[in-house]
Amino acid sequence: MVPSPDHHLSALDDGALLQRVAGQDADAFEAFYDRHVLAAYALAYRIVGSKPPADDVCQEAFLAIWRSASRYDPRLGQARSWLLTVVRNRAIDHLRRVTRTKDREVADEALAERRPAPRDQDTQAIALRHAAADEAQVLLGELSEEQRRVIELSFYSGYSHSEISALLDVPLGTVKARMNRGLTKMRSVLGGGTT
Amino acid sequence: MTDETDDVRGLLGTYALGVCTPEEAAAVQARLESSPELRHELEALMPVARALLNASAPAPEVGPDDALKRAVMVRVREETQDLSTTQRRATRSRRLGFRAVLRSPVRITALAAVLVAIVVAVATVTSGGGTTKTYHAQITRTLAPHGTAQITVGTTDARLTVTGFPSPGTGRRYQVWLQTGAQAPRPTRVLFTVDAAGHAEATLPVDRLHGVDRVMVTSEPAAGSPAPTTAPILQATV
Repeated sequence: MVPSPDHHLSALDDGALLQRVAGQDADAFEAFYDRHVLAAYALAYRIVGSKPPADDVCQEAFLAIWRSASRYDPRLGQARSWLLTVVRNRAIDHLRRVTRTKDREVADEALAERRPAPRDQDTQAIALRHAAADEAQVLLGELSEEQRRVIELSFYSGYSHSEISALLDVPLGTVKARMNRGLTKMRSVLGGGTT
Repeated sequence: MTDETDDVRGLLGTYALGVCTPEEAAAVQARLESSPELRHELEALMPVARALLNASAPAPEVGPDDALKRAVMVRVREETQDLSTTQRRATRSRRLGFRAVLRSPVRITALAAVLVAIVVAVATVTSGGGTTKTYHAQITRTLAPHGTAQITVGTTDARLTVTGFPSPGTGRRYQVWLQTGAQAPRPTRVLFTVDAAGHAEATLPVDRLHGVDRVMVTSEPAAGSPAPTTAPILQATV
């Protein structure tokens, strides 16, 4: 078992940890790693679809954070979002490297099968809106199947509008409309409104 | 509302999710610069992007194992040690150099002259009740291998000084850009070229520097550009 960093570091918020990381504090980095590795790994795995590349993506992303912590600007967003954006970008890069080959197809199939969005609208689903880890699943569950598919292909697989158009065999304008209607609906739900 | 704005509005979602092509992103950034309404719409979409990033609860059968953490931490601690070694060597080198200076009367005289110059410079900078700050720019070495640049910002004026810069090219001039956060760089009317020695001074719009995080310079057509078309030759965090 890999030992955890000092308890007092675990009590610091992300901004304070990254300040220390910028000063080459490996223990602070370890605390940051422990705090966010589950979310980072889950996102990487969701995008790349298997363990070896998810390991690589996470390793690259955390080392990128280690090397560039001094550039972190809290005014531009939460540290967690920064990390997850790096993870997502690296994972999409990985997908592009496998160049639409069989690996890519497997990843997309895994995406569709592994994360079916909940369709229920009962009380439990509504309560989940307030749980960060499940929030987007609930949000995606608010969408039509077509809207959800377009957003997932775009966000989690890195396909362009044109590529999605070809993949789903629908006009480009339809792809854009599904994407925008879906995002507008998610925005409305997040904001507490109704659509 | 123009067709162009409608087109950009149609791209806002993909821009917020970070899935635009570079051309689409450039179009969105250019329009955001002049449209508070679009900026507001973009801000409203950002929680959706954050929620999607946080969407992936770990599957119970798959997760990060200890080997991953060990691999990451080994690299981190190696790099920490490398840096410490480099810093120790640099410190030792500085100490040895300083001792060598103290052993030579000529060098002691030169050191004293430098110290006097520094005192004079500090006095100059802080005199008159105003505050002058000097920022050293980061140079893109592939574009200006021997270039240096600094920006001096006072209460009433700001100046950019560059040395060792190459010519911006026939029919081209260097253009200064201002950037705040992750927003697109904003153009200025400050255009300049360099003399045969690669030297130039340019007056910056001090009234527009408030809230600016970075000053950049790129080579552009002589009349200037609305958006950068080449990589920055210098960037300074101010």
